[in-house]
Amino acid sequence: MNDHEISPELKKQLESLQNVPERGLQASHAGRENYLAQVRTLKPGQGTSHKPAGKRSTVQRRSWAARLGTIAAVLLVALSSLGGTVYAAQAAQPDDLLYGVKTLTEDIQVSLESDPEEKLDLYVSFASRRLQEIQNQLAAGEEVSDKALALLEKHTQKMLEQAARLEGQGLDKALLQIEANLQKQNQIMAELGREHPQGSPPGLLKAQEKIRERLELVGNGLKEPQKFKDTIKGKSDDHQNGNGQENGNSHKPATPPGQEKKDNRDSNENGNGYGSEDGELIMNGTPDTSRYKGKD
Amino acid sequence: MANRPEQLLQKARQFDQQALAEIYDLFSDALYAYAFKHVGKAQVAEDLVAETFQRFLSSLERGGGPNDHLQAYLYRITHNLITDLYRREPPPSLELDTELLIEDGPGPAGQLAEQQEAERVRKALRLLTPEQRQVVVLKFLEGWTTQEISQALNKSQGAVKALQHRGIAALQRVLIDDQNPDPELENQ
Repeated sequence: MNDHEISPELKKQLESLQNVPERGLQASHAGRENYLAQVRTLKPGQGTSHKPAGKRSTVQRRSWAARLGTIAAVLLVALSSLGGTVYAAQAAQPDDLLYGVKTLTEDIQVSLESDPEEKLDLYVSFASRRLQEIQNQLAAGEEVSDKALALLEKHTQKMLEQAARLEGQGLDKALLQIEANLQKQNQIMAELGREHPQGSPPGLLKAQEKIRERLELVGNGLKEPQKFKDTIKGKSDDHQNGNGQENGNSHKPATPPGQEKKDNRDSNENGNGYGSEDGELIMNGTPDTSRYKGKD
Repeated sequence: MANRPEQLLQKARQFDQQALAEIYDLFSDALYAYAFKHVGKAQVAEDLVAETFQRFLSSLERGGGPNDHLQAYLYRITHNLITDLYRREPPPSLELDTELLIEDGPGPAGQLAEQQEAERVRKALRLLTPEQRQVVVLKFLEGWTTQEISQALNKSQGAVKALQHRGIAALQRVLIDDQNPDPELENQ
């Protein structure tokens, strides 16, 4: 049978299905991100004839890490079994009920990744999401979310820490990635500042200053990579030793004994997404971003 | 020399993340359109695409998945998911159900009429067997050749032509003939 055997009337009716509305940008983006997250968590070679991708084999070096990965994978599968809920969560905005699910899946993705470059890509991707969320809120005339700002801060710090673990071209590429992200952050903060024509609140000014400092740090890192690594390592060590004053948060209470971070590089990756790496924005688990608000 | 999808597939089988991303970018929009034509709801179509790729990854992870004809493989998964979805729902009636038709509120009259016609065709397609439906949609809506369809269904071209013939005949009867009864036959 060929095309000619279908009656013109029937052909016309079938063609009514050709009118497919344009795919929603947010939903399709969320779908792609979700898929890429699944790609990153692929555990090839389990009962298969395929060789696993080389660099992933390091995951299995530490048995605790393997167990943690298994738990996280089970959790991911459990969340995935919620089907539409998890997918819907990927499009959630900071004030939505499902936003916690979105950030939880991000934490799980990071916890399942062991390669520094891949981890850095994840943090850059998450930071871009936060920026998009902030932009959406600005566009809608809404107050910018504390959560998104706190998470943006966390992702940025993590980006720098991951970059400091890289060498050579990998480090250069990472710094360029971070630089682009910081420039975007700078732009968004400037937009936030324009919402306060009578003068930006001190917290916002401080955030902008911090972005500029980081841009300078990254710019210098491209010229002197080792100095960049030492600076980040120094700050990380300071923080691990309870001297987390890098952000001028001098009134932050000292970490109670026994609750110090064991490994600053990987801390909080299985948390709820609101933990802080540097104590700048979050105290006692509560985002302290009131400085960004106060639209007066 | 292998074409681009087949090259990507070979890399994907080695868990190359770039290739897996390219595969998504290459096929996800088309699969979304294919799913939407069947279900008529954006969110459901998105879920079907997501589930399709999730199954694809799961197959690769288990060492399965296609060795070739990637496009046909992905469409087959989506089609099977649509069939499962249909099975979970009550059989359709060709009576107009206006609640189903207006997903985003009423639009201009012409748009509403188009939506109504599309919904009626969707319901008619559901009356076909899954294979007839797949052949008809791939042939007349997706523009696939008989050879491509035969690869997607793992059937001979002759079997595909037979499915197409029966599917079109059923749609002709349901959508055209039954709606426009021959006045002479009516008077007999």
